[in-house]
Amino acid sequence: MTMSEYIDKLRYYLQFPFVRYALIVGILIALCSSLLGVTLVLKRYSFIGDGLSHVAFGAIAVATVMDLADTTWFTMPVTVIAAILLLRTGQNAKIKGDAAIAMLSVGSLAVGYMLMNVFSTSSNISGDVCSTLFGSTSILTLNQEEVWLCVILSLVVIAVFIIFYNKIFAVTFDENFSKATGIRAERYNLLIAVMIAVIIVLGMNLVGSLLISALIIFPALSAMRVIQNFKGVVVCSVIISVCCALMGMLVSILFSTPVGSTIVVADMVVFLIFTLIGAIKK
Amino acid sequence: MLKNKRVGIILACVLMLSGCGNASRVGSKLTNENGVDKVLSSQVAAENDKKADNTGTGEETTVNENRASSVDAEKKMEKTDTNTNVEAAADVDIDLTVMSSDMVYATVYQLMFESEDYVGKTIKIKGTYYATWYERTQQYYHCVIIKDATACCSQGIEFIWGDGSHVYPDEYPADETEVEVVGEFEIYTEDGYEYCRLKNASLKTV
Repeated sequence: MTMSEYIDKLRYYLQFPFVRYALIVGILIALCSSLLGVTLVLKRYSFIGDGLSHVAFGAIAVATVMDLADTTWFTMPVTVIAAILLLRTGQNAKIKGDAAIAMLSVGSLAVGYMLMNVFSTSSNISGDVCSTLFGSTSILTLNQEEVWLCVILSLVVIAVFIIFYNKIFAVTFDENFSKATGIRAERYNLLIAVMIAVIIVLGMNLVGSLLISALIIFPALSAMRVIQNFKGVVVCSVIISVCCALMGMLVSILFSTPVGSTIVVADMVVFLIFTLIGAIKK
Repeated sequence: MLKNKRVGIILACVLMLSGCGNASRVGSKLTNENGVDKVLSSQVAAENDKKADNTGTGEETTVNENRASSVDAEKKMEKTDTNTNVEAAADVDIDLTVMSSDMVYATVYQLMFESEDYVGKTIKIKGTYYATWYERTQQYYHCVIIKDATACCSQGIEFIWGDGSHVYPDEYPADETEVEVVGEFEIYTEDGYEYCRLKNASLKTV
């Protein structure tokens, strides 16, 4: 197949509204996840995304068993509550930090899978589990309501990040110093936790719950290889994330590869390239 | 002493939960066949098939005869459908045979969930053929199944071959045969439920 034939094929695919929806939602999710990715990596919260995505998986399983028409309305609050609990009680709880995340992560995954197996009325449990864990083609099967919900929540996350940029910056780099200057660090940590939860629930449509961490972490890490200031890293991370998501989605619909893993592979390739560039620059 | 008491209570709880639970109540919730059951029953079925193959020569000839008749039917079908396919190909609105598997899966999903948008459109689809018997309506339904890129999700669409006068199983291909179907998308109501299918379809084995 020649290049022009691929372009014709792509033009043909773009005539379908669900392909256009997928591209819009995919780009917005990639943008939001990379915005917060930098903060998470710098605050050493990289693994929180993974833990929360597993909580979201458990919540989806419960929503499926309860036969809810739209699982997002159940998954979103549960994930937000889990995020708040992890961040707020993390300091004082008996089970701390990474142990709490690991416990919540594997516990939710196990309970979710068990519920789906035992109580689900679906005829294709492995298909349901596969599409929840790896995204499968979920991004290509969104309806208009889901698209609008994704667009609105993504815009809210972007707006909140821009409005509170200075505070988030201060809390990210030195929480104690920001507290000393009068910033209520706990509030902003809470805000960050809520935004992470929202992004994770949205991102599950794109790459699934097992791969969502890659969408948050890789662009930030790639940007950090070559750029040394916060704003630069955020902007570069956004560009990398959006480009990789777009490339991944286009490659997957043209060459029949799974959407989520293709995006993550694209992110990994960019990370390797940026690591090389960073090494050469030194 | 307090520690021993605690251990005793925990052990009692574990015993109560694991051994003395209400088995009938648990059983009622486990009516859906789960993955383990499926694997076990499929392994048992495979073993039974092996035994049957080794013992019954008479059964083998029947199977072979069935296979031969289905091959004949496929040949007949290819011959009779050559003309209708050429006519149908010219008017195809959505050709799923030229799409990637992700796109095929997503398009079939849209056909099922946004059905109204596709009524009257001619659709060409390639996939695995299956026939299924429905007890309530006492008839066979014929469908073509497609899988997504990860092959974990599959979906199917029902079709009516020609005017529906073709005889099953004599004229139809065997289950799991790769087929290409071209037909007009429609929504119909049966038994109080809405379904969708491809009507006036042409059928070709590939």
